Parts: sequence; C-alpha cells; structure tokens
Amino acid sequence: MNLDHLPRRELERLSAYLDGELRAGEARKLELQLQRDPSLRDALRQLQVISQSMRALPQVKPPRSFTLSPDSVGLPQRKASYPILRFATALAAFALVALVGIDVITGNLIGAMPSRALQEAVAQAPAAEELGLADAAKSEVGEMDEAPAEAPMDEMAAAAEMPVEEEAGEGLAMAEPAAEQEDAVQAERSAEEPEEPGEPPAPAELPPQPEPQLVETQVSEEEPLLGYSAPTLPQPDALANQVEHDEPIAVEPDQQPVARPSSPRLWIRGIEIGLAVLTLVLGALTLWARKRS
Amino acid sequence: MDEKSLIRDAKHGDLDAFNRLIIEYQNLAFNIALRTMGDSASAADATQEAFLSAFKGLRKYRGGSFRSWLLRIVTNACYDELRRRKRRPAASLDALEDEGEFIASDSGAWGQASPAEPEQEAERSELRKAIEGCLQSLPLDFRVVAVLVDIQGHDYNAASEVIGKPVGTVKSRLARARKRMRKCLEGRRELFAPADRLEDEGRL
Repeated sequence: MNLDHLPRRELERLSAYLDGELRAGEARKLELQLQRDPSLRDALRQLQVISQSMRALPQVKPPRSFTLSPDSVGLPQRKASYPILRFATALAAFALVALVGIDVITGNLIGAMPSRALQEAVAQAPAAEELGLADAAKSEVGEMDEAPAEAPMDEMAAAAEMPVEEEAGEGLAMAEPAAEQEDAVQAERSAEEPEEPGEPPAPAELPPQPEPQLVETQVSEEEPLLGYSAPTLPQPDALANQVEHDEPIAVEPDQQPVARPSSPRLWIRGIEIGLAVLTLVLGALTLWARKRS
Repeated sequence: MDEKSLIRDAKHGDLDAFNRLIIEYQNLAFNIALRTMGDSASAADATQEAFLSAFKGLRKYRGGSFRSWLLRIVTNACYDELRRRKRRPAASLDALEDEGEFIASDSGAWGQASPAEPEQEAERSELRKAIEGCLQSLPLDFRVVAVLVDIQGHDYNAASEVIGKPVGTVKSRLARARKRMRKCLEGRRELFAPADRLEDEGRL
C-alpha cells in the first residue's frame, strides 16, 4: 500500500505505533492487522526509513556562544550587587555568631577565676580581719563577685590590700590606675625600710589597710605630698582609734575601688554590637537590592 | 548548582545564572532553529533572540519543564524570523552547504568519513542535503514537529508542550510530515541503501 493512498487515520496510527505512542490495546490490534496485511507492513517500513533518516541528521555545533552580556539585556551593573550583598550579609552574620560564641565560652572560663582571686586577696590581708576589717574585705569581695570576670587577679589583690589608703588621698588615689596604686604602696614600703632596718618588712606584719590610712590622713593635713614618704609608724592606740573611726568609711562600697572590665572584653562587646548593626544593615540592603532587581 | 537554583537566581536578575542555563541549552536550541530555519546565520539570530526574550520574560515562567518553555520561545523566534522574511521560498540544497561543524550524531551514520571511504562520504553528504532540502519544503507547522520528534527525539507530550498544541495535533502533523518527506525523497531513492529504498512493494 502506497502511503499516498493510506487513509489519514491509518497513517496516524502507523506513525504513532512507530514511535511507541499507541495505547497497548490499539498497538495489539494494529499488530494483528500488520500480520495479515503486507502492504500495511510496507507502509510502516517506509515511515520507519524516513524517521530514521531524519534522526540520523548530525547535530551542528553553534557558530558562537549565545550567552548574554549586561549591555545586551539592558541590565544595569548595579543588579550584580545582589549576590555580593547576599554574600556579605551571610559573612557578617557568621562572624557575629562566631564572635558571640567565643565571647560566651571565654566568659565562662574567666567566670571561674574570681573565687581564686578572692582567696588570694583574703590570704594576703589576715591582719585586716583581725582589726575588724573583715566586713570591709567581704564587702569588697562581694563587689568582686558581682563582676567576677572583669577584674584581673593582680588588681583585685592590690585593691584588697589598700582600700583605705585610697580614701585617705581624698579621691586622688582612686583616680589613678591600679598599677600606680601598687607603685605607691611599694614606694611607701621602700621608704619605711631605711628607718627601721632591723625590723621585718612592714607590709608583712603591720595591718595593711588602716596603717597607711592613718599615716596619710595625718600627713595630708599638713603635707599631703609627703604622706607616702613618711616613715614614722603610728602608735597602736592611735591606730586602733583611727581604725575604729575610719572603719565605716572603709566599708562603704561606693568608695571602694571598683573592679573594672578589662579593655579587651570591652573591645569584643563593641565589635559584637558593630557586627550586629552591620548584619542588619546589610540584610536590609540585600532585601532592597532583591526587590529592585 | 541545579537548574532550579539557576532559574531562581536568574529570575532575580542574576545574568551569570541565566548564562549557565544558556550554555546548557544552546546546542539544542541552535539545532532546532537550524533545522527549522534552514541556514546557520538565521538560526543563530533566532537563537540569540530567543535567549534574550527568555531572559526578559523569565518572570512568566511558572514552573514545569524549563526545557519545553525555552524551546517554545525558540520555535516562536523562528516563526517570527521567517515571518519577517515573508515566507521566502524553501531553501535550495545549495543554500544548505555551509551548515557548520557537526557534533557527532547519535547513529554515527553521517559522522566524519574515514579517508578510505570518500565515495561513501559523498553519498552520505548527498542524502543529508536531500533530507534537509525536503525538510525545508514542509509547511512550517509540520516541520517544527518533525524537527522536535524525529530529529531531536522528543516524545509527543514534550513536543506538545513546546508547540502549545494537543498531543493529537502532534500525532497528526508528524504523520503528514513523514508522508510528505517520503514523497519528496522518492525521487532521490538512489541515495538510499537497497533495503531502505522508498518504493512500494507492489511496484517491484
């Protein structure tokens, strides 16, 4: 049977059968017809030759690439800012999370330190407790507990030894850094040694807090600047009276040297805040760029 | 990165993502355009225009087969290009000579000939040109379906998605396209192997 004389419906059935697009029932029915009708088989063969001939046409390599440039699509360059902003936002958020994580971990580690610092501070001031200054020390310790991670051990130890001394300077010593306070104590101790060379070092035996307080108070009225160099030790009675008199002042927490946060942690807090702000700004810009594009 | 991610990024104006999609589909798109248009230069123009239209109209893509959506734009670009030429006559065989560099075909029947078979290669080249010429003689609607199914190997459903017509239309157009191709090639039967001669058994 010539394809030209094949009814259109039969032609479509044969063509679809060739492509496997006939339903199973129709395909079985057509196969029975093909077994009986040689001209139908011939028509199918001709369709098959045509189909195979076209399918064998080679694929041709394109003469050029068809990728688009921003100019060709009229795309402003700013649209490329979206992926950059998205990446920058993700980076800032990651940095913020990492920094906060590190901050929390290190904060927990440092938080365990103040109790040890406290023990050392108390151990270095046994005489102060004997003179009734235990409350003052405890008050100071309580204050250190409130900010445990923020005071270095050296500063806390120095503060435990000389709280009253700073008061005697009428705020002068409080305005100075802890290192200067330590220097002042050492200078005082060194000034005492030449006067009584046979005696043991004064800081080890004398009550640490009230003694400098008394000396400085006495001297400061006359010669404030010589207070640290006055080698004369006060009489015990006068010392006890002075201590009793001064005790409430020493206990006042407001006048105690405050354990300040160390500057590196302040820096970290500042960076954390900065990163949080940066992340928010970048996120807003990313959303804006996405909306515009 | 998978195709969905590239499409999503391209929808947001990421031209690099869309260019990666172009690289993935440009061979297929160009070959459909080439077999539909008949010459390489026109096919390249239509393909380029199709990709540009696709990028600009990407927001209209609502899911489904991106391949079908893109090839529909390609075939529409071919229609537009041919319409601009005001339906010029079917390309002659001579116009198809400078077709370009071939990618290896599936069957290998018309691949690069070995130096020892120059005569066979000449016959293959003649047959290829005859088929291409007959293809260009088909009505455009028939040609597009023949290109999609017989040359590019799409099934009826995929071809239906590309042309935006029911499967029954694909089935009908394809059958008639094959019938016309057979009639066109009947006069060049000497180019076929004896077993594949397009002659009615009744005539033998």
